[in-house]
Amino acid sequence: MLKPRLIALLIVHDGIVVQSFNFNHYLPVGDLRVSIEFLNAWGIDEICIIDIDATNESREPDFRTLEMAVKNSMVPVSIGGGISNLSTVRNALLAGADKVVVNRAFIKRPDFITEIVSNFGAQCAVVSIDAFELDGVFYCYDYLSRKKTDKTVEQALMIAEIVGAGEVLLNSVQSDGKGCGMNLRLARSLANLVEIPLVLAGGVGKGKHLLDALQVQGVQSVAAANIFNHFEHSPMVLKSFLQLNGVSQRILEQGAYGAAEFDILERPVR
Amino acid sequence: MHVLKLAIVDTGLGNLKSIEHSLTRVGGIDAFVSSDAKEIETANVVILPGVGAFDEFMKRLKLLNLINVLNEKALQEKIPLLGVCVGMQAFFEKSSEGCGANGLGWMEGQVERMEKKEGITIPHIGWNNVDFVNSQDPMCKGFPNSTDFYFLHSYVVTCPSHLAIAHCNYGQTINSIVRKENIIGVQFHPEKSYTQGVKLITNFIDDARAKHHAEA
Repeated sequence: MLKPRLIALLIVHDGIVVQSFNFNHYLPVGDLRVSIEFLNAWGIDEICIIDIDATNESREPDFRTLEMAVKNSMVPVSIGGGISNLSTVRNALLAGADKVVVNRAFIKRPDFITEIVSNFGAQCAVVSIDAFELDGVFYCYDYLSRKKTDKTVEQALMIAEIVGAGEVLLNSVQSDGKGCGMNLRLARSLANLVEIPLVLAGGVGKGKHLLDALQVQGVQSVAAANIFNHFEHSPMVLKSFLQLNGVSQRILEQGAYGAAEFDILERPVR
Repeated sequence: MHVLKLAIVDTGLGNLKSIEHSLTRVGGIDAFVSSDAKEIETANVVILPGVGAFDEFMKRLKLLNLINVLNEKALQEKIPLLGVCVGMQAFFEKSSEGCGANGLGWMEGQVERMEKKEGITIPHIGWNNVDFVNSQDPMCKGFPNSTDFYFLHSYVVTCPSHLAIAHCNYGQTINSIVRKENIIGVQFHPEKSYTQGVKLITNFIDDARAKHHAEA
């Protein structure tokens, strides 16, 4: 059977991986290449790198740095940030990306996704939507102006499917960086709306948060950032936790924690 | 040791870097990326990576004048040839993807969109466990049954069961590795399937090397 993926988000700011809080405060983590290497060895299913300065500075992501780093990944990598035309998509793929993540360019011009799909295939087009909740309604958030837009997440998601996106990465702005749990209301409000896979991101502080999210119908996979940067062997521990709780996971032979149980802090107990 | 000369066929679609990187982990191969029929002609092993849509993929093979050289390599010279994803789908007679197109027709069968079912999102994206039907096949060497590989596709191959040497399940049975003599296809992406993927590519290369030595 298909296993829900655990995707590591690596937020790149000023050339290094950072920890992000609510999209407005950043702390340094370290070198991208090192992050990619340990995530691979620790059994991550997929990696998503977002250069958050690229759109801001109206430039492409730093492909030279990315190429050096991505070379070491033996699992799929997607690259986002400043992806706004086909030549940038081509450069991202040439740098070793398997998929591109499009956020702002999709909100401004959804047809851009169709262009990517007809040139490079649906498998390489990931639409990223940042959701901001106001009075119980989820709106698309524009991270550049730091304001919500008029478009609802529900509308954007349906448009993403129509224009041919391969999958949608859905992040909750208000949950981001808090580690207090994923936005389950957001996930539930979108169940059964589309046929393409939904990846939920934002707010993961422990394994239980992933488990809760994966139990919402329509959430195919989960993405997180900070938890992978600050706990040793985190992908392995989280996967063992999910597996033990009935969510089938890809577990590396050499990386099987094999814990029979987890303590109250979700540390594996042998 | 005789070095294998391996051509990675470049149709201008998608990511060839990862195939190249996987091959550096296997070693002992002189691999080159090419879209030139004359260059590909010199290879004694060929990998046909595929991303994108079937009709676009076939169109590019035609525009680049690669159909003849591929036919010759696969059917006359019978050199080891590995197709990945759409590269594998291209071995079959036809596909309904996009505007519909004929494939290379090396294997009996066709390519159709995955069945729509409740709880099944399309594309099929992620790690799924592959079961080996024919564990004697050199491609399956050393793998326990139910090995996880990375899949990323919306279309599947329907073919006579003797061609499929491994499959997985995603709402339906998905032919995951096919073989007809020297021609091998994998639906998943070994170049993105961590060490299991490298092992599969190693199996392919080891087998190619053994055959090459037997002939030399």
